[in-house]
Amino acid sequence: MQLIQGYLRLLERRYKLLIALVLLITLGFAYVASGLQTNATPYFLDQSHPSRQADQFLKSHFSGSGENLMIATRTEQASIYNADSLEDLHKLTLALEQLTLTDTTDVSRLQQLVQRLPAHDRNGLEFASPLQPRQIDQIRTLQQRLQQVGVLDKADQRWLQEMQTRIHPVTKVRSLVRIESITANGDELDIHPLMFRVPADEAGRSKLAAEAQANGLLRDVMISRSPQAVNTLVELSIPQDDAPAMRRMYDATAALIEQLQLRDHYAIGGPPAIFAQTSATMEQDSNRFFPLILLVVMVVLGLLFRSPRSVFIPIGVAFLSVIWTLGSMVLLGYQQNIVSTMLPVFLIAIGVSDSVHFIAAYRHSSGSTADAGLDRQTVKAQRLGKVLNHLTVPMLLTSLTTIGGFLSLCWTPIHFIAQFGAFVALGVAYAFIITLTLLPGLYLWLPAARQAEQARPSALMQRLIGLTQQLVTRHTRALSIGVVAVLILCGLGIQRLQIDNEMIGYFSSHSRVYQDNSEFKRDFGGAATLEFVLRAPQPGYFKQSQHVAGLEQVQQQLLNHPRVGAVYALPNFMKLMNKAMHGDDPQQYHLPAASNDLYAQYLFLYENSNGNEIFNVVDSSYQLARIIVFVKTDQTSAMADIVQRITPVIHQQLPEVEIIPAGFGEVLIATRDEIIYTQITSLLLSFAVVTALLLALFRSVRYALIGVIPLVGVVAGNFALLGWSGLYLDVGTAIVAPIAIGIGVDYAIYFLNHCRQHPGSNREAVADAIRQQFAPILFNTLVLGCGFLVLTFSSHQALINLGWLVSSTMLLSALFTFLVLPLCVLFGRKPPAPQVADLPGVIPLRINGYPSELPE
Amino acid sequence: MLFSFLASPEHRLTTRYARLGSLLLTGLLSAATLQAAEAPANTSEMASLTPEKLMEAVKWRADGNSRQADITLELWQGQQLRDTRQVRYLEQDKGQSRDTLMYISEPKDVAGTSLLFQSDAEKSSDDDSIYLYLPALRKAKQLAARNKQGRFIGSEFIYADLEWLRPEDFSYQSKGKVMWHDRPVIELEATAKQDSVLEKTGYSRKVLWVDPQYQLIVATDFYDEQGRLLKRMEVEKVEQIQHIWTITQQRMDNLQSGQSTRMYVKNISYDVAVNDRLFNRQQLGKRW
Repeated sequence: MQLIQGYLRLLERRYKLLIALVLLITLGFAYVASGLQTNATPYFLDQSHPSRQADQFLKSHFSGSGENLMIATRTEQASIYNADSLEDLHKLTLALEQLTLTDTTDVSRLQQLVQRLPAHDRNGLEFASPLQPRQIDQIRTLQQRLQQVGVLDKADQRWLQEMQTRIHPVTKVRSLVRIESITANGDELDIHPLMFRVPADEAGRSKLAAEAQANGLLRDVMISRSPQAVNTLVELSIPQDDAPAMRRMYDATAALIEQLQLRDHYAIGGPPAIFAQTSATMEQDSNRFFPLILLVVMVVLGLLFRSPRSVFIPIGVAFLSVIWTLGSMVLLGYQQNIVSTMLPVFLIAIGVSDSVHFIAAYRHSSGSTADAGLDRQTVKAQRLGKVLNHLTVPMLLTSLTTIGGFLSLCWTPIHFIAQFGAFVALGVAYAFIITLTLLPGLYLWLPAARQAEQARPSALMQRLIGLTQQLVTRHTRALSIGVVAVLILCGLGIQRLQIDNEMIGYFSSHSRVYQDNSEFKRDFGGAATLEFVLRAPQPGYFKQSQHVAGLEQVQQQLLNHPRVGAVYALPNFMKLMNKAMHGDDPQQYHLPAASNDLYAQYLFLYENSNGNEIFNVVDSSYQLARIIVFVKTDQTSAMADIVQRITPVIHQQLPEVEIIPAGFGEVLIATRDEIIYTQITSLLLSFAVVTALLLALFRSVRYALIGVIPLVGVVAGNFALLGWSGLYLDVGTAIVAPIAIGIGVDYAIYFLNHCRQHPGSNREAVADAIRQQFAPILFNTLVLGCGFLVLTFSSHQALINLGWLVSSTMLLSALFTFLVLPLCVLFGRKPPAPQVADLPGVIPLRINGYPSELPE
Repeated sequence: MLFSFLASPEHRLTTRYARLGSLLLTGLLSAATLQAAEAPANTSEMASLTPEKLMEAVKWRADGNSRQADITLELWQGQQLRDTRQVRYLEQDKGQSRDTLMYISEPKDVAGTSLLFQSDAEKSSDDDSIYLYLPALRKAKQLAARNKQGRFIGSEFIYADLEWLRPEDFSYQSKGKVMWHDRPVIELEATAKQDSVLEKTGYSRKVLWVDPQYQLIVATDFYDEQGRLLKRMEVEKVEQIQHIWTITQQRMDNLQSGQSTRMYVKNISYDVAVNDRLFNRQQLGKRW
């Protein structure tokens, strides 16, 4: 208290300085925040996570393991192997190979960089528009020379590195034009591109169709069972974390298809398409939602306070907290990511809370502190003194509980969630600091506003309060039965809860990415992949017939899974080789009979015959094998089920090998597992923090428990909502429960403190607490609920789910506070009230005519 | 760098240009003969040739009528030795044609595998014949000659790198004299003339460094179909054997995959007595 008094004296003397200081800090943070960079990786798990490392391992040992953009072509003609379609496919392949993601500004910048070199070092470094993929070598040379001369700063180095990706985004195009085919030509083994040139006549096209359709290796991967469709795999050199480049690639591919005026229908899919579109949608939405949430919160505040000042000040505080937080992110070396783009939305919704308390209390204090004998400034100072005396500690406590809720998200390997939790917590702390510094200063500085009319509560509000009081105090048994029924419903809902994720399912069924994905499911094995790397104890292991036969068994088991559309693995190569070695007899499409060294010699023949694609599925020492599973869905549970079913089969068939699940599917599975871990740890931590704070506040185990019980109900309700609605507990919705605890406990603190300080019986205390707390808690719920509901306007289902769930959970939190919390109080013996002096001066909100006296 | 030229730079080739010869293995036993009428007499004459003539001179360099050697191929993945191959090599020129036989003795799982390469300078390289004998099958399969992108016994050398030099496949532009490891060489830029060359080799462009004294290509940069630098071949050791400058050590680095192959040639003999019957598809698999 002495501290607050001292602060008040300082405030009275130096309020302008304080305002200036806050604004100066804000300017500083704003300047720093302007340099905020974006880490647009679509992966929630850090590169150090085992699943990501497995992916890196895969990429470093196998060809064809870059991110693959898929382009499905479907013709309306009877067969895709017609002259027009083949001509178009040929044209598209060549165009994709020459595609760059550059523009004229890149050329200018390159030319400027060349000018930094001494004249004699500029040889061979001519850049003109349009840039060509082959100029990647020139860019590398330029980078080397700039480094040698010592004129390359970090920004340019980063840009040149990025340019190497953009100038050469395509590693390899696997289309009819480029993909290798293994056939017999008389006695000759012929490994050749399936269609190096477009066949000139019908006979050539028929031969091509027959050759393609007979290729068991490519069936359902590139060659559809329908003669009307083929697939093209565009392996990208773009690092998987570089979502902006993926987006540019997706857009450039779509534009290229348009520009080339291709005659058939083209669909774009695969993980890069989904990641590119997810990242684009979330970024666009979060940018759009920022002004929208400002507007919504302003409207709600306007309805509550009916005063422009009381609208703009809380919004201003929240806005400054956003700037401070973003500036801090830069100072601490963090980048904005796919989750933290939602940070401003959260901070605006939550950050107004303290100032709403402050303004409500200040407005209420106006009548009781007016003293005709004092000048206006002194009156304002006295009113502020009372508000600060009585609000500082409760605001601190409620801020701490909110901070605790968000900080509990830090104990997760999903680093984006951890960062999000940490920075929202920091933002809440900033909002608290700004509320305590800027607000009193502004109130001292600004001319006194005309005292807002103390509105009478509306009839509806009075009726609601009355009903709640009656329900709690007179129909306790019925309410208890109702609560038990709700809890049973919650329990049943929780049983239906699915921890899952389906990236394509987050898009509207009308979106291009969703519809394109359906085509891959219909015509091919699917656009999602799950991969297994099998590490054998010694080199040459996968040249041995029994081990290839083991792989074949695994492959067959995989194909029996209802969600598996195709499998691409070593046995298919061996079978195709065997067929070619027997004059392309379709009956010979099976593994050759086991004999000493036969498989090794087949493979030797393959390598010497211009075979390269086999290194997509084995490493060059034949110690590692890779099984690529094309899955009809990217639903994590389906991926996990495949892993679960196939692991014992691999162990049985190839007991010596180590299984390393990898690729897109494994990252999805690992993310799901981490969500479970995150949910458990963050919930435990949230409850621990909240319980500790309640214990510190009330110094009563019973009251602490009473405070926590409704929160348990809220969390159960949150999970039940997910269960009953069929929504998944995923990366987005997993953050709701701990947040609900952090925010929901604020209601409990206000309510329980009122009960505890009430001199009457439990029943009287509860009735009075409802009378006093109903409106402020409801209004707080409205601010948060309406604020987060903005997210439901997103075009991305993950954000819609998040918005809907947070809003519902806020409402649930209010309901549990009004209905369950009073029951808990009523069922217990009221403990002796602590000395008022011992308790922090927690006061309720007073808005629109629900006053309780501020202690003088 | 491991370049060590054992022979004296002042040394002049004593072998005159014979009627035949060339490179089956460009950098392997690089020696050939030049048509006498076209043969430049010395280094300065070589240097003054047009790029096409220079390549012809390299192709027709003198190397006797037959040659035999043991080859070791080391396959490296970055800094790690992944595998080793042992090959016995025998080659004979007959008129305008050349037959090459290779017998693989290591690794064990492909031991006994043999390769027969038949080429005719007057015919298109598409008409070359390549047979691969597989002991497990006990038969020889023919490999398609129009596409020579296959990896020569799993190395970074492809068949197109090792075929008899085909200067007519590329158009050349001289970049002038440059120094290469303290030796004057001529830099040539070669661009594929036709799609069929791309299909056969996978190379859209090459940059070659020709040593006029050795009449050897001492280094080559290979560019892929998209024009990106793909591989680099560098000669590491040249020795004079039976008065013929012979590359005994070279490497091929795949700059895109990080894999490389080092080739060591030992026990080299020129103008050896050869049994013609060996160069027959039916005889493949028999060790000589």
